[in-house]
Amino acid sequence: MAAGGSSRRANAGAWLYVLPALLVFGVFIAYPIIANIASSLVGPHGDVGVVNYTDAAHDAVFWIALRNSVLWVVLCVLFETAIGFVLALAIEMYIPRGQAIFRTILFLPMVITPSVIALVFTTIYAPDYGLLFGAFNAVGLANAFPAVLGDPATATYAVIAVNVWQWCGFFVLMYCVGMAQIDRELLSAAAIDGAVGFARVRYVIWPLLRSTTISLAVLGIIQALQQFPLIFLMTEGGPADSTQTLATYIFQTGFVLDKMHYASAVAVVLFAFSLALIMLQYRIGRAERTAHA
Amino acid sequence: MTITASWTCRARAVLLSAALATASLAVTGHSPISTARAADPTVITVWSWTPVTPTMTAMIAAIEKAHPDIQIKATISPHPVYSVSLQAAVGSGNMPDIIGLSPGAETQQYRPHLLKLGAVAAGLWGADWQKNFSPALLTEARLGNPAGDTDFYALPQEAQLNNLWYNIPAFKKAGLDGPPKTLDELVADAEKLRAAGFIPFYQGASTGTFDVWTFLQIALQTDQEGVLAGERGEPVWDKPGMIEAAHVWQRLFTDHVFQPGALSALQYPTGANLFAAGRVGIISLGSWWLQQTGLSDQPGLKTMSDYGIFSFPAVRNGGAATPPFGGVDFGWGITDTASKSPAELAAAKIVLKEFISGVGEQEALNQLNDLPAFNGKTPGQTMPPHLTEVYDSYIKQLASAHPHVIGDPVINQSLISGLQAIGAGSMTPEAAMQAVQKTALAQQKAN
Repeated sequence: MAAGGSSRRANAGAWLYVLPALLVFGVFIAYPIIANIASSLVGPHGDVGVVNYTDAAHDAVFWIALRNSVLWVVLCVLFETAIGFVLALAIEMYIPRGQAIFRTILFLPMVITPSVIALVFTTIYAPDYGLLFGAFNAVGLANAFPAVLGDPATATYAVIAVNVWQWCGFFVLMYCVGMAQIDRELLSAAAIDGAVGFARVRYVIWPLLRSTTISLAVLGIIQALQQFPLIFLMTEGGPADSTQTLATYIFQTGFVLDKMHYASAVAVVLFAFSLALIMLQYRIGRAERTAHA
Repeated sequence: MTITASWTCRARAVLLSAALATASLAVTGHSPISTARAADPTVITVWSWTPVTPTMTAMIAAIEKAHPDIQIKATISPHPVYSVSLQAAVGSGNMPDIIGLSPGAETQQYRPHLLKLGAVAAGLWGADWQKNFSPALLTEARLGNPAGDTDFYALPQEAQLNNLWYNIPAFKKAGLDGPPKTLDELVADAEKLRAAGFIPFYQGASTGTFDVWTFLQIALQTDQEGVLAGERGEPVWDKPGMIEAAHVWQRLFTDHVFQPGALSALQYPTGANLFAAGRVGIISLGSWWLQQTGLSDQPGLKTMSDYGIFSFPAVRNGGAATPPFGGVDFGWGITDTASKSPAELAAAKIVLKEFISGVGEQEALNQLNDLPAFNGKTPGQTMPPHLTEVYDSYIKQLASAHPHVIGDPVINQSLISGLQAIGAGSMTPEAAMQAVQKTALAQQKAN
């Protein structure tokens, strides 16, 4: 009995320690998610059901937004990882001095507000008076200059490119940190075994940075899915809704079109999509760890 | 390879400075505007996205000077931030006393939380108070009210007219005597302006509001009744006049009247800045452009001597240019928060009156913020002759202006998408207007 009472007291004490975190999680994470799901089940006339979801299934813009969200995730994670890794490798392996300067320069875009970046890149992309146009004009190719943000076929890619530019520095930084943790002796031993050049990167460095890559991929997915300001400020989701993502479409339906319950349904889709991607990512990571154990 | 252990520390330092820089950027800009007050004044909270902070500060100072027993705490935020804040305030039951409102959808969205202002206005300006506002403003102020509800939930402080502006020196350099009178002249003038090194007609077509305004200016020539019906939410978008207007809109892209890549361009700040810098021949703006006189030291802009206004040229052979087109720039509503105490409500009414017809509006008007919604108000300062001419022309047009707001935001968004699709060449004018019509029919059914 005494042991049981002591155990219960210990449990109660443990719960007491956990309580603040649980309260914060409940109020700021769990409750909004549940409230949002409940809101998504309220129809435009107050009726309860799945009408918002069936409406979304028939909404062409919703499908454009979903497709673009997938594009954002795939392209951002792919390019940010690839460019980040290659640049980090170049800085850490092939640049003998001034590495800190390169790292700082590459990280600088991260501290610029999206509104400034949006304005700068809108001007860079602009035909007639933009920076890129000036370069095309200088070599006599003014007529070949593409209005990338004004063409529904290219606008999303143009905005994604800006996001990749902004976030690459962060990936470089994280990979540099990861490379710093690689045991020098391991690299020397690998070199003795003939792992030099590309083979060293392919069979030694890249596998050793697996946990960094998985973490960056998760961060990249989250960042790509929640990206809003760049798209809103550069294109407002246009032209003709061609750059809408789930994040911008939630804002448009909720705050511009005043269809908050419909926006909640789109938010639930975004939540489910994010959750599925993150779970997939962790599952792949766990499978790889098990395989290498 | 020269990776050292201290790199981790340096990385932390970089990350920390990045976080601090980001945090410092994030906290700027949204503290309430207020001035020092006597003890125990009645505090009135005001939220809006307009007018700009310096104008609002001057308005508040003037009102608080005239009413020492009232303290105004105003928060001016960019419109997207304002929208989100207001929705959150509604959800938490913490709305400010007075909120800035656009006519139509925004006013209707908050109508359940707004006081009826018809009786309030009668108390402030007399039973015949409506004679103080032009008909277009009163129509827009009630836009979207439920059938049979003729009351007002927001009253306008400022009005605006939408039209085309042109750069006089650019026209002269291109060998043009004055603004075009027909669509064909507009196309020809655009070519001459381009040849002279100017952006002929800057359209920030990624800014949907300006697409709608430019399109409605065209449609007012081809189906005036249709425009008014469409603004009220009626499904009229596939009528021949509307499709004709959509074809004219398309021609502005295909005939290179608009600059290349117009669909990627922003009207603000890019277009307005380029126009102010003298790089643009024509731009679709409105009466609020007069604000520039107080924002620039450039003589041609300060006196507006380098700039002129004209209506969208006649699109039909023998037709007339677009008639006056405009309405409420912004207005104010009193929320049910103010009615929680009689003293607060009384103070809120005083502030409303001062915003619209009193010292507050006078301050805004002195900065040529836009046109006064309240008849008879005039700027306090003496203006140069050309500026006076432009200003008086606007005031004259306001009396007969056609409303410029589509009441249903879903239809408005559909029209923006359709117009951009026409510009991108991904839809024909017929298909785009059919899509808008389909949306309008669905909205009619849903409502």
